Order: sequence, then C-alpha cells, then structure tokens
Amino acid sequence: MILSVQHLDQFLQSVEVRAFKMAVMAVHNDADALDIVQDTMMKLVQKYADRPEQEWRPLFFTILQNQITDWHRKQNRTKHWFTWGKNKQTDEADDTVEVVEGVDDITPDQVMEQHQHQEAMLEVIETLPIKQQQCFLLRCWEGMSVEQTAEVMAVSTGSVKTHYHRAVQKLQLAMNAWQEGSGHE
Amino acid sequence: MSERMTENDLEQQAKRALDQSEQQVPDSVRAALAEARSKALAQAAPRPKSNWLTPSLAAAASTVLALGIWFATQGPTVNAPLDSMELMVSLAELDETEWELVDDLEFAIWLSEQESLDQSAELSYADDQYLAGGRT
Repeated sequence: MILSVQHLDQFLQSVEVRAFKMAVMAVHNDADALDIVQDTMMKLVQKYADRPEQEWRPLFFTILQNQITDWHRKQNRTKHWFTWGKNKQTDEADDTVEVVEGVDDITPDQVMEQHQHQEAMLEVIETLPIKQQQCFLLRCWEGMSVEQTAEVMAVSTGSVKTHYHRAVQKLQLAMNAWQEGSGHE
Repeated sequence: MSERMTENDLEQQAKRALDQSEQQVPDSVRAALAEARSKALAQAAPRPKSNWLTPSLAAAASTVLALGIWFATQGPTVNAPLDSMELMVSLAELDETEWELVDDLEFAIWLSEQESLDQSAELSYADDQYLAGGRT
C-alpha cells in the first residue's frame, strides 16, 4: 500500500501541472481549474488507486475531461437561466458544450498587438470549442493515439478525427492570418 | 517563414507553446497543486485507529466474556448454553432498561442460590441435631 501511494504521488506529480494548464485553457479561471484538478486527483485515488499503474494516465485524463465537461454543463445551465428565450448558435451539432466564440472573431491585428507567436497560438487554442480543444490537447500535447483519445473522451474514433481536423484547420487559419498580419511571411 | 504553416509545423509549434506555458506556471499554483495532491493521497494512506474505539471494544469484550463464563458455570439451571455469537448479538441489542433487568435477574439468581444454600445448611444442621439426638 505504501509503495502504491509513492507511485501514485509520483504519477500525480508528473501530470498535475499539465492537467492544470488544460483545465485553465478550458475554463479560463485558475481557481476553478485548481478545483477541477483536485477533484480529478481525489477521484483517481478513491476509485482507481488499486488499478495497474499503466491505466492511471488514461483514467486520470478521462476523469479530467469529465470534470471539465461537467463544469461547462453547469456554466451552460446557469447561462441558460440568464439568457432565457435567446437563441444560441453553436459551432457544431455534436458539441454539447460550446462556450467560446469562434476563432474567426480574432483579427490578426489584435493577436499581433497583444501577443508573441506562442502566446497567440495558446490564445487560439483557448478559443477552440471545448471538444476540439480537448481532442487537440490530448492528441498533440499528450501524444495520445486516436483510439486512446476516443476512449478518454468517450466518443468514437471518427469523432476524434473530425474534432482534431477542425481544430487544426482553425489553428492554421488563425496562425496564417496572424503571420500575414504581423509581417512574418 | 515563406510558406504557409503545414499541419506538422502547426503541431510542433503548438506543442512548443504548450510546453513553454507549462514551465511558466507560477510557484503559488505549483504549491496549491502539491497541496491538492497531498489531500488526495491522504485518502489512500492507511488510516490510524481511533482512540475511543479501543477501550469501548475492550469493555464490551470483557462483558461478553464474563457473562459467557457466568452462564457456563450455572450448570443445570441454564437450559441451553448460548453460542458466543448469539450472546454477543443479544447483548448488543440490549437497551438500558434491559441491562437493568439483566442485573436484577443476576441478583435474583444469586439470591435464590443463597437461599438454597441456607436451606441446605439448615437441613444439614437439623440432620446433625437429629442424628446427635438419636445417638443420645
């Protein structure tokens, strides 16, 4: 048991900062992101500490994605009450949680004025619809395969490919526009 | 950069930007994360035994043992010896009033034993007297 706790400690230490960054990009709030990571750690320890170590990583990110999705659902419910009767248009039919504006709203000038290239990139990632963002971060940053990402996000591999493709398209458009606007061509 | 960004370029740049942002997380956030981790791991660590439970369990065990011995030494006056588990269950279900009844019952049994001892003593004394008288 003591050995298991040490391994859990090492594992959690290895993913906590990245998990926090993922949560911050999804919820745009440090305090909420910390709560999400803490709840994720709690759930992993409570429910899956006895599982083989190689399962911890996908389980951890599954719980994290669920926590983020739950957070957005709660926000949407609150938003729904305050915007009663107003029609909302979503970016995608299969994105049940859509809380951010599309990247089309970001002009190259605004990005160029405020950020360097990496910061602009991060800002574009932050503005992606939540499913696309989760998919992009798991695939590109965590290096998960399509199958692993599908398992973590509880969607089909086809959905993963679609989300990822759309995310990459938006990033390409935004970053190309930023390059043109900032004279980096 | 003369060409438009390819998918591979974009992925590499995104990864670099994300790694960079991970490294720039402030110490205060890292400390908060470490604290959250400790809280989570505290659930996995074996919990210390509570202090109040030990004397209570010892007292209960002593009572059960004493009553078990008492019942066992009653011989024919007890119809059937109670199984220790049944006894524990029965005792666990007793409330305060029932405990008083058990005490009363214990006293009544003791009293009847004393009376029977007294009677037997009296009878033996009478027998002694009779025998002594018969001899004389």
